Order: sequence, then C-alpha cells, then structure tokens
Amino acid sequence: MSFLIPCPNCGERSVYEFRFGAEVKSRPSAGSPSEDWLRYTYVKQNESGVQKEWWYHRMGCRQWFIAVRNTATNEVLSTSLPEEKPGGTSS
Amino acid sequence: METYQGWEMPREFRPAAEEAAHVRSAAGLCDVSWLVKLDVKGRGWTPASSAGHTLDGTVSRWRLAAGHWLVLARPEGGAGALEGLQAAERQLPCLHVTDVTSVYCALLLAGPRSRDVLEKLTSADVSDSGLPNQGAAQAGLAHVHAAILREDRGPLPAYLLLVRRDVAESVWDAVNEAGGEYGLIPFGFSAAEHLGAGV
Amino acid sequence: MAHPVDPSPPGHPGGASEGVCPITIFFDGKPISAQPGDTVASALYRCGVRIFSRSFKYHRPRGLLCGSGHCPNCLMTVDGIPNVRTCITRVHDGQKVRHQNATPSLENDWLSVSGFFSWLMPVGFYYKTFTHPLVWRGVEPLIRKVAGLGEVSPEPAADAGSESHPEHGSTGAGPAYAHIFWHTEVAVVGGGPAGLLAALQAARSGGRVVLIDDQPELGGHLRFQGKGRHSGEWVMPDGQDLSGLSGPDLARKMAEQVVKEPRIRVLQDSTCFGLYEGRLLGVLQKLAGGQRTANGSPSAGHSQALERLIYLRTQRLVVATGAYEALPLFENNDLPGVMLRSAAQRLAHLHGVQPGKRAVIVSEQADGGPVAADLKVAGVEIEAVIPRRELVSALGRKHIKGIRTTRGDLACDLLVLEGDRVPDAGLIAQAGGSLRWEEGQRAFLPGEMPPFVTVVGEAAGIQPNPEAPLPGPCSKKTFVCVCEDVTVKDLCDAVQEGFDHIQTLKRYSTVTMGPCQGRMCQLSSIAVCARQTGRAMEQTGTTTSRPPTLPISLGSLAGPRHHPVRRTPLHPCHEALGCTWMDMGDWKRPHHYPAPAAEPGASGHGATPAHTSTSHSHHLPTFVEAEYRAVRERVGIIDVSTLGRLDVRGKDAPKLLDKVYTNRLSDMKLGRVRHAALCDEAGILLDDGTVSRLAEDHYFITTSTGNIEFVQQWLEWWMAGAGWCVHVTNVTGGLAAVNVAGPKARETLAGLTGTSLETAAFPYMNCRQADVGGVPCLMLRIGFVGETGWELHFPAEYGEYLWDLVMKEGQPFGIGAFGVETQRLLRLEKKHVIVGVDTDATSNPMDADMAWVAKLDKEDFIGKAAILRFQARLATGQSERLVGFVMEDDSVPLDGSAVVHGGRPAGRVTSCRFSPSIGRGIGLAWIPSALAHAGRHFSIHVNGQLGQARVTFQPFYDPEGKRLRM
Repeated sequence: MSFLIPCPNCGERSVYEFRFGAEVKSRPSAGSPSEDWLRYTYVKQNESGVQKEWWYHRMGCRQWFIAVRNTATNEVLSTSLPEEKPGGTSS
Repeated sequence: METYQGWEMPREFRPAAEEAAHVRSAAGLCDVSWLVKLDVKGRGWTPASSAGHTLDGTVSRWRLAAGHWLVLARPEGGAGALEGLQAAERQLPCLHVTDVTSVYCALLLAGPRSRDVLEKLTSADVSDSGLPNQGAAQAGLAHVHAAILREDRGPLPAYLLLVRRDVAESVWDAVNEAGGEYGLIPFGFSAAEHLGAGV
Repeated sequence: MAHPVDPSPPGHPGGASEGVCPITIFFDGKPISAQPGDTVASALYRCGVRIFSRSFKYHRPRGLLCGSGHCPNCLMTVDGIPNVRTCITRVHDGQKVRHQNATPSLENDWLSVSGFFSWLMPVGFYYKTFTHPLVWRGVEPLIRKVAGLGEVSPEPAADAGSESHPEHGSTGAGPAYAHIFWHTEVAVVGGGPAGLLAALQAARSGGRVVLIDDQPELGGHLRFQGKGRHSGEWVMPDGQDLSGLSGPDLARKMAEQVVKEPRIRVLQDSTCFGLYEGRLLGVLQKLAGGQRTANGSPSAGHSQALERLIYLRTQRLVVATGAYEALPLFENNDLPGVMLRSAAQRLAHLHGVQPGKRAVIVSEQADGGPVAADLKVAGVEIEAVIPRRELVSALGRKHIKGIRTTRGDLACDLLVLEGDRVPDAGLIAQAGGSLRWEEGQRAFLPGEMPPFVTVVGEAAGIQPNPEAPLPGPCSKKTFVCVCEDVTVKDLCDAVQEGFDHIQTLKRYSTVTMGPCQGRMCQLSSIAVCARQTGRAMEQTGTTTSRPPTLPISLGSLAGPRHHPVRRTPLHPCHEALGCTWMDMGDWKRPHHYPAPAAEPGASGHGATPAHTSTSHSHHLPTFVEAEYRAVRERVGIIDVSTLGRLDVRGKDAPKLLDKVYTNRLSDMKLGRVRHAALCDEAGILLDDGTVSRLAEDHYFITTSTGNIEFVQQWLEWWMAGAGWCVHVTNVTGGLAAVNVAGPKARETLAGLTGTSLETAAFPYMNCRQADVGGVPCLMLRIGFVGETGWELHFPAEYGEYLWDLVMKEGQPFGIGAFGVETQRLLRLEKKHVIVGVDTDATSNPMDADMAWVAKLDKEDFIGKAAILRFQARLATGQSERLVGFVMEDDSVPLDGSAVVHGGRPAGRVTSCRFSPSIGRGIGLAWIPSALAHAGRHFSIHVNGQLGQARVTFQPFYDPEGKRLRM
C-alpha cells in the first residue's frame, strides 16, 4: 500500500502519513430509535468502489478532511476540508 | 554551555570559525530551541503573506494549514509579537494564540548537503519545487511529526525543524546518523550567528 | 586455475581496462588478479573458472550464461553477501568471493549425485512426498543442505567494510542499509541508448530526471558491440549528430552528455525492482562496491552503507529496460560453455577475455551475424554456424565438448546461442499495462499503457525473432528454468496431471519463480504449455509479474533501525537517582528507584504504624515498600510528564466537551477539576483523565499516557465541520509534571509558593495558577494515589530545576521519589481503574462500575445511546462486572489470572498486588454479574490451586476519601 493522498493543506503525500477515520455518514439525532443507532454504530457500507471517507493527516497538518476514494483501486478522486456548517457536524 | 538568549546553549563543539566553514561546505545541525514559538489558530487572521515571511529580522510567520500559523521570534521580538497577536485575539471573533516555545524544539539544519540529509528522513518532497525557500511543510521526520520550515541563509540552504520536545533527542540522533555520510556536524550558537541570524 | 594470470592483450575495444592499478580478489581464499573495469565474473573467467555455480536441485555444473545479470548462474557470496550476481558486480581490491551450494568445491561437488536420483524427484515432488509431518521433519535437514542458494551469514552484513560495528551491523559510518526518499518529474529505467536519449529529451524539456541503470556503466548493449559503425541516425536533443560512431563510442558520448546534464540524476549499479501504487518505484542501489575507488578504499564523503533503498516518486515513467535473450531449449542446454550471445560479446569486448577457443554459433544468419565477427576478433575459431532447428544436444559432463546436430556431431568448447529476444516487461505489467503476443515479432509486447508510462526502445518493440520459440523435447535434460531446475519433462508431466493453465503450471512446477523471475524461462514455459495443451501462444498468455522483479535483501527493506524514544524533561533526574527504566509506549518511565540502604522509618519491616505485618517482604519488593511508605507516611514525588495535556480554547469549548465527554463539563465553576471519561458510540471506554476549567472559554485536559494523539484526534473529529469556535492544542511536550502527594505534601510545597494550600483556600478537586519556586505552575489538587497531593504542570525547561527544588524542600519531611510500580499499587488500594489496563476494547462504564462518569440526563453525548442500553442490561444480570476483591488467604494472584466459577473459567484478574494497608492481596477482576455482590466469594486460579477472593465495591484504603480532603 503506497498510494498518495492529496491533503487539502499539505498537497500530495504518502498514505503512511495519514490515518483512516471512517466512512462519512450522518449521526442520528439524540433520542433516535435504537435501530438507527445500531445501524450507525455497527453497519459499514464497505463499498468496493467510490466512497466518501474521513481521513486525518497525522504526520502533516493534523486536520480532518473528507476524501472521495475508490477502495478497489485506491485512487483518491478528491479531498476537501469539511464544510463549516454552523451548528451541525457532517460526520 | 553558556547562557544565550536566556537559555543554556552550547557555544561551540569545535572552533566556531571551523564549524561555520564546515557547514558552508557540507552540513550542520544546531539547536535553536531558544526561539519563541507562537501557535496561532483561527479564521479571519490574514498575515501579509501566506507563505513564510520575515517581518523585521526578529519575527517570521509561517502558514501551516487552513487557519493555522506559526510565528517565530527571537527573544527580543517575542514579547512584541505576542502582544500584537493578543491584540488581534481580542479583536477577532475566534483567534487563539498559544505560546508553544516549550512544546517544540527547533533544530537548524544548514549547508549545501542539508537537503540530502532531509531526504533520508522524510518521505515528503523537499526539492526546490516541493519546498522552496520560505516554504513550510509539516511531515513525518524520523518517524515523528515535524514542521519543516525552509529559511535559506543567503545562498546556503537551511531548514528549521520543529519537533516535540520529548522526541527531540531521538530526532537529534537520527539527523546526526543520517548526516554522517554527508559530513554533517553539530554546531553551536556562535557559528550559527556567523551564518546569518534568520528567525 | 586460481593463479594470478596476465591481463589480456592490450587495446581491446572495451577500453575500460586500461588502468595500471593491480587488483587482487580472493576466490575461495585463493588470490586472483583482476583489472579495473572487470566484473567479478570476468576476472574469474579470465583465470579459467568455468563452473560458476551448482544448480538448485541436481547440483549440475553451471557456467556463465547471460553475462548481463539476468540469469542465476553466476550467483556467489561476495564480501559476505549471498546470491550476488557476479557478472554485473565490479571488482575491488581485497574482495572476498565464495562459491555457493557445492561441497567441497564447484569443480567437485559431492552432492551432484543428486542428479542421478532425479527420477525420484518428479514435478510437484514436495506436494506428493511430504504429506505427513513426520516425513518432513525427518527429511527437512537433508533437503536444506542439498537444495538452495547462498547462506545468510549469522553476522550482520558488514563484511564489506573494515570494522564491523557490533550494534548496528555497520561499517562505522551508519547502518548497513540506508533509505532515502526522492521525488522527480521523470524516471527513466534503463541506461541503454533508448533510456539515455529519453533522459536527455526529458531534461531538455525542463524536467528533473532520474536515470536508473543496473549495470556498472551506462550505454546498454552499445557498450559491447564491435568496432564497426553503429547503424541508424543518432541526433541528440541538443542537435549534436553522433551518427556513424561505433557502438562503444556512441555509448560513451551519450553517457557523457547525460552525466553532464545537471537535471539528470544518474543511479548506476541500481536495480529498479518494482513499481507500486502512487507512482512509487523501488530502487536498490549497491554502494559498497559501486562507490569504492579502484584501489578499493571507500571514496570520501560517501555512504559506507552496503545498499541504499530509494523510494522514488515520479510523475512520469519511461520504461527503457530493453530486451534480453532467453535460453533456447535443447538437451543439456545448461552445460558450462553454452553461452548466450550477450555474454560472449561482453567477455570479448568489455573485458578482453577470450570466451573460448573453438566455437559453434547457433544463428539463423548463415554467417553467424555480428557475434561471429566479434569472436573472430577475439581469436576464437568458428567451427560452424548452424540454425537452431538442427541443434539436438550439447555434449560433455562438466563443460561442453561438442554438440550433436541433426547432421552429426561437432567438437567445440563454446556454444554461442542467439536466444529469443524478450522485451523486459516486468515494470510494464506492474504499471497495469497489458502484454499481447505479436505474431510478427514473435514476442509479447506492451499494449495499452496507463497515461504516465511511456515505453521506449527494445522494451516497446524488437527486431522480429526469426522463429517462434521452440518448445523442445519432453526431456529430463532440457532445462526450461535454470533457477529451480525445471525441465521440459517436468512441465509436460505437470500439464498431464492437469495443471494446464499457465498460472497453475507456474505454481505447481515453480517455473518462473526462481531468482531470475522468469527472464530465462517465461517465454519457453509458455511455448511448452502452448504445445502440450494445443493452444496458441496468445491464448496461453503470460504469468503475472509482481515486485520485486529481482531478488533484493531483506535488510534493505528493513532499513536503518530507528525507533523514536520519548523522554520527559525530568529524565536526567531519574537517571541521577539510578532508576530502573520501563517502556510505556514510546516513553521511558522510571519503574522504580533503588531501595535506600537505610532510610529513617522505612528500612525493611520498619518501625512505623498500622501495618507492620511481617508478610510484607514476601509479597512486596523492598524498593516498592520504601516508595510506598514515603507516600503513605510522609511525602512522595512522581514524574507524570507522560500524561497527555490539551489546551482547549474558544467560546464553544463547553459545547464540544459536553458532546464528547460522558460527564457534564459546561457547568463547571472556574478553578474546578473534574474526572472525566470518553466513550465511543458503542459505549466503549476510550480514555479518562482530568478536566480543569481555567476560564469560561478555556479548559486544560489531561489524558492517559500514550493516548494524547488519539484524544486530540477524537476531539477534533467531533468538531470538524461543526462551525464552532474552539481550538485544541497539544501542549504535552511543553509541560513537565510532577505529583507531590502524602501527609507532608502541603508542608513541602508551602515553603515554595505564596498560594495558600490550606483546604479552605484550595480544596480537593480544584486548580490554581501559582508561582512555585519562581516557576509558573498550574496546580491541580487531585488524588490518584489517595493522599493529599498536588499535580504540578509547568514549562518543560524548568523541569530539573523544580524537581531538585521540591526534593530539597521535602528532605526534612523525608520525601521520596516513587515510580510506576508503586503508583499502581497506591491507586489500586484506592480502587482506581486504569482505562486500558483494567478495561479493554469491550468495556463500558456501566459494567466497569464507573456509572458516575456518564451523565445520562445530558441531552446527547457520544455513546449515550449505547450506555443507556448497557444500563438496561445491568438489571438483567447478563453482563460481566469489574469489581474489587480481597484475597481470603495469603496468595497474591498474578495479573491476568483466571476467575473460576462452577469449575469453568468465568472471568479474569486485571490488576492484583499485595496491599500493605490491608495485609492481603487486593485487585480488580471481571466476574459474572451473578457473583458481583459485596461480600460474595469467588475463586481465582493461583499457582495451580484455587484461591478464595471476596468482592468489594469500596476502595481498600481510606474508603471515605478523608485523606484526600485533609
């Protein structure tokens, strides 16, 4: 595994500088039914193909960002810093 | 060991003139941890230049990431820099300045072979196009996080390496080991002054 | 052989051998003189060595075959490094060369008898024979002796240098293996004419170029061509016309231009062994030989490493790997004296060595082509030129004596073969390019390529091979694969046994899997497979090329040994006290300090209070007892600088912390400290620590040792994109920290600070910013060890100063430093759980008896939904619970001991120590919730017996916590 990730801050770097976070999904609101929480906590898409993911540049800018990656080829199609949405988190 | 800039620092390991000449022809490593280091986080603060920028010879500003800067100052400029930033902190809605002088060790890696040494320690691109003079990069260095700030002394390539204090000895050893084949030597503050101050 | 012999006739076209420096190398201990420019193999050949190795399985004699680093025949141990391709390894004075895989010598190898038993070793021998482990156990040592290549020396790879360094396996100037990371716009693999031209062109258009060549000199096949004019137009990118020069002159001129060009970095003696994701090339550069001057001394300023692994990231890749010749199939095609054209030309032209006296050339050209002229110039008599179809077998035992053709026998001592040209396509396949069979050129050629790859020169297309590769007879003496001794018969049998796909045929027979990675055998194995299955070459297809394309040493992949070590600012203080170190993650921490010889009130079973049971010494090391007593009876000091420290600022800081921590932290008053825990969405405990509120919008957080990076990332993840005003800064490295605790802690510190430490002014679970001995400190009054105490956080550079000051101030009170072991005992007596020691990746706060950390009336926090479910489950009695226990007998179970219930394992002990205050073993254990009632007994497995333990939910020491609040 030696693919490159274009960090929105630092540019293209080796994947070893990064930490994989999780698939991007939205968190149920407080008081949602148990099933929603179970699905959110335990069920992963594990897409074989393009998926949106959280990555953290631990050896670089130390910021979280979102990457669109093809998990089958490890091609990173795009990366971006999370949008600043007052009051809501995009995870 | 002598008091320098308010810190106990090594003056020289061998005669300073010899050290300076060696650094000019090969490479050298100097502990410049006495630098005042200020961590600036927040949106809305836009310094004059987005890249590394030396203000008046005592203060320099480096953009590390979106909303994240590092300000370095010689001790005589440190208080002024901190005051200026604290004033900005009060004016802007969400700007925070943290004095991280003790958090980071600063090592000055200088000399024509300094890039060769660096290439053995980091997988980031430190070529002239990857890290031009006045450029800043954060990257793994000898397996730890580092800020690599390029600040040439005239024609002499030079890099400031900022690593966390608790791993600094380990990094010092790693740089010395990697530099062995390029003739890297440790040098003291006296030779560093010969090479030109920098901030 | 083996006597220094005269250098070859002067003025041979190689030109590289004109030096006067005498070089002596040692072959199996015997001195051999060599010339500058020689390779190890050419020097040996000149001295009459003809057998260079013994084959892998049958120990058949093998001679120089390809001469260009593509086959396994010349592998020897050079300067202690096994399996070196001697035909492309330069000589240096004093070089030590040893043969491999033959006893006692290459000439007379006892093990060659194994060849007579080849009928016992059919294809798939291992799979068919070793079907029972006992058989394998009996035969394994024998097979290890008989089969194989060179042996790895048990000594570190340092033979090449003068003195080896015992620790680093180095030659005194750094480790034996170096790593370096390069970035370039263009990488050109191959230093032949196509590669040189591509490099010059790329540099001319402004790119930075790295040129990689595995040969000692640039120029590729031009170097060993005859003196005649080299065909074709050769106009350099700078307009210089080099047409009309001879091959070697052309090579020299082009190489000069390349070396002169500042944009091109040239890597010689370097093998590009693979192309990986992210346009990463793995390049292994030989240094010990390559960077030595002719007289053998390492040149100044150069690495003393043996090999350097270059991680080369490139924007564009030019594959100019050229083509090589494959070994044609006929009986005894592996006999020494059977040589591919490239080897004969190299010997003659590069090294001035006569390859033989009397040669037969196998060529489709009636006059034998250029090689015939080359051999004549070298003084070789040409016996005959025959087309390949007529060749039946080579004759001879240890060396060729003649050949059998369809028209009769011919005598010769050299058989030069025009092999099939095969484009070197390993990198092309790894780049994701396709290979297709071209009937016209009778070769597999690159098809579709990814956009960043260009293929030039012979790798892209060759002069058509005159004939399709001949599969040869199904004979036991016709070798397809010289690496692994796979014969045509083996392949025929394997196909018959059902392994008729080229991929399964490869795995079953090991063809293409040896050190040459299929260079000699891929084409012919495909031809055999195609014939035996009645398919076309195209349908049969190729095997998959994977990195590494050539064998590389494991040491080069491992690289220099370097692991970061974290030291606290107080490291020298502990060293001065002679502490015993322990590793905690990357940190060095004092496990304990040496027990004082005679300390007032603490020597052995000492004088003082409550717990003077003589059983102490059975269970408690004296050093722990001394440290323990200092804290419980007087005052102790411990370095806690390894705690993670975070500075959290911004008006939304309370919001963030309330969301992420299970406790409520937004309602904390200024100057208060709270214990707080983190859980994930599954309700699993991640970390705990203290949170201090310094201002409305300013918190100071501690995390457990080694968890700082994680906690920072966790906090920042939950605020990412939220648009909140909050910033988290890791200040761990900047702060030293000590915990000063014990009944005399207040007296000790009071002399150093003007801040009142009286409980009324500075109560338990409060913090103050204070000046201590002139050092600005953040003081937290907390009680991990169960005594009145303060945790002091202060700038790292004052670490030693303040430690010494506190030690001096505390001396009248009998202060003692304590290490991690004593701290663990002290906290265990308070029944404090250490997250990660007493909990694991399945532990939640409800079951861990830490329900108080979770404020379930908060609207939301990370993990709340899961913790609610765990709370509900508590009532059902289906969970495991973490409880405290006291042993009913004298035993002290080890950490990790099994809890036994109903004769079956039912839980485990996470921490257990002898408690001086109770006089019994105490600990924490996970047990079934049915047993988790105060006073209930359960059994623990101790030393093969069952010890009785009693459940308790109270702290073992000072259950009301009075001492903390004094």
